[in-house]
Amino acid sequence: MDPNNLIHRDPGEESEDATLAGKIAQGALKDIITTILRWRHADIRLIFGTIVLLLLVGFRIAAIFIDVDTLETHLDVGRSSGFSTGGGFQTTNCRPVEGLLLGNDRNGYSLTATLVEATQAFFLPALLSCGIALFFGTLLGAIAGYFRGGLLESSTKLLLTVIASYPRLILVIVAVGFFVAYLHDPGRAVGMRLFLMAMMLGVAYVPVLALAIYQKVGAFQREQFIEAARAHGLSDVRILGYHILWANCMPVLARHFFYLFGYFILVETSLSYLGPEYGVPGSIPSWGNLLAGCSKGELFSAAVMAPSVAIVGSILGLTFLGDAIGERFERGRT
Amino acid sequence: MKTAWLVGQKVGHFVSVLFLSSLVLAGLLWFSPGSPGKAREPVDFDEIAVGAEVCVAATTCGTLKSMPAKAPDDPTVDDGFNFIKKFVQVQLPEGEQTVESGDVLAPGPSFPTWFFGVFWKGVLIWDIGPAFNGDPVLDVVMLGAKQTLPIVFGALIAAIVVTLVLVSFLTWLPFPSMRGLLRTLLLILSISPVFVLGFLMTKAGVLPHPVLWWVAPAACVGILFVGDSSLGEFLLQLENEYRHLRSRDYIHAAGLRGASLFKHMLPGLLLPLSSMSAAKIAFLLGSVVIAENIYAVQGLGTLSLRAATKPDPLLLLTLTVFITFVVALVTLVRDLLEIAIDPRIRKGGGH
Repeated sequence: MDPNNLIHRDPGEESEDATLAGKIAQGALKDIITTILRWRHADIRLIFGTIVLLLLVGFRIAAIFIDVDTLETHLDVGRSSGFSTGGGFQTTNCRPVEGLLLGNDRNGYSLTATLVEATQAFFLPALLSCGIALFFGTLLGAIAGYFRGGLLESSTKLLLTVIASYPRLILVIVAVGFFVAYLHDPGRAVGMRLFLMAMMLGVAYVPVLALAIYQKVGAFQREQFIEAARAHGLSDVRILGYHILWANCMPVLARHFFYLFGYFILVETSLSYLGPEYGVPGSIPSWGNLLAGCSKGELFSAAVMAPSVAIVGSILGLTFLGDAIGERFERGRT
Repeated sequence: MKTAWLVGQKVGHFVSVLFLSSLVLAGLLWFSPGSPGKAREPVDFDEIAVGAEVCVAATTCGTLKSMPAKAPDDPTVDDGFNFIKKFVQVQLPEGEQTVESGDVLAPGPSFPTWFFGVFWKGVLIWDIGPAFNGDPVLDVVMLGAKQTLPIVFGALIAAIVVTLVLVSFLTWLPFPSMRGLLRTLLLILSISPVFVLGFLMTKAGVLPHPVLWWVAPAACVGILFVGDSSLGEFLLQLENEYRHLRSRDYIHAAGLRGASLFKHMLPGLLLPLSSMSAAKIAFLLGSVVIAENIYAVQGLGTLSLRAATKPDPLLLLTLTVFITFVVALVTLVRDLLEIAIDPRIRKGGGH
């Protein structure tokens, strides 16, 4: 007898074990397939949007700790320090580099690190923009929707029509270009430029949100629970603020929050692509100026495809998330 | 009588929106750091050097060509601003002319004078003044409009036609899963920003052609009607309207009678189409800035960028008011179309 094998096992038992293992494996496989089949019915938009949002938040947090300078590859010899989209394109840049996941960018820095760091160009300004649009859009839409048939409604609607008549991008260009051109030191005006961009885009988005809230408030005004609240002597502010806006307009606000966040990414990257005069300055990396910086690179290279996919993926994800959350809220309430 | 009153109301709304939007924008420009009515700060001569940006009038700035011949403590001058006026030559950014001594030094006009006396009076007599390149502002705007408007309306028409074809195809397609897949793919393509599509098209070899003048505008139309969710939004909205209309009783009845469905559905589709066009035109006029810049088309978008960075407030105001005029005009056409098509509005039932 083998001293190491103290328990005697005959061949019959071994075959039983194999059958049991097979059954367990079969059960596990069945579980996996069932789970996958169940996921087929999950809202893909919600999953994709949540992943995109988590990635964006993660990237923004990681950008605090990333110092792109320490990750440069030193391929672009003679380049001055700092991120720049102008001049100095080297044939060794925008290329795959050993040891760097996506290769390097126009300035020879790690493209992966720059992509992560570029989230700081839009993240906080986008939140500011959303805040402005949500506050003023809700306020104006609620006032116009609740106090119908009077001067307040008609004047608010006229104001919204006037703002809506400007193309949003033109309004941003007017403000950013005209204000920043007069600052003495454009390099120091980074915060001011992003603030202006956020503010103008927020203001330009107000009519869209206000119209949605206006329709919603108007529809709820005829509901019985609002009549009951009035009969109980609740004030207009409480009915409007709590019973209509807080309790019933959240889906609209959530949806437009994500739409505007995505739209801000679109505008910021578009303007940064056009040049440092319109978007973020050359000293700050942005997905837009990353793409512009590698315009001489090959079409299907990482340097071209990575920023493109990041831009399209983010906008798509946020739009999907807005749709999915809005629909889920609506379904939950009905 | 009722119809005439409604039309008058809509035209009045159009005029008031146009006027108020120009007033708001003029106010924004007026209170910006580059206000046309603001006098420049005096120059500090301890810091000034050749090549510096100096301004000798409210809107006349340029690069300092040479240092002043006399010392700034000359008793004949009282401050730096007069000193600039008397002794400094400034090379203007474009053209050969220079600003000589004593040419200019006046604060700009007041806001009412600038807005009513310069801008609106200039619009009415068709002479606003020169733009940054010396050409009359209105000529510059009209030249830009000739390039931009065909692109924008071309993109709008292309979006409508392609969407109608796609909606018909998707409605005809017998497999729901394939329909969903196709719709999702189109939405993903459509959500791409205009500049990404333009960039990819230029990389794919679609570039402005020296002989074939239509390549650049056609490329602009292509990326405009697809990008920035244009096609996607049209597709979703029109498909909803189409399905809603197909489920109406009078369409069923027309189908049973053997009458043309197209003929019966067209008036029903015209209203949503005009509403969608009115909502989309402002968006397209914004996105055209990016498309024109990529394909170097000298239209309103490129001009807006140049006017904003020069900066030329009068040109910027004129350009933006013109763009607002186009947006308001399309909205007016939509409103008039509604009055013409929908008898409930004419008979006082409202929307």
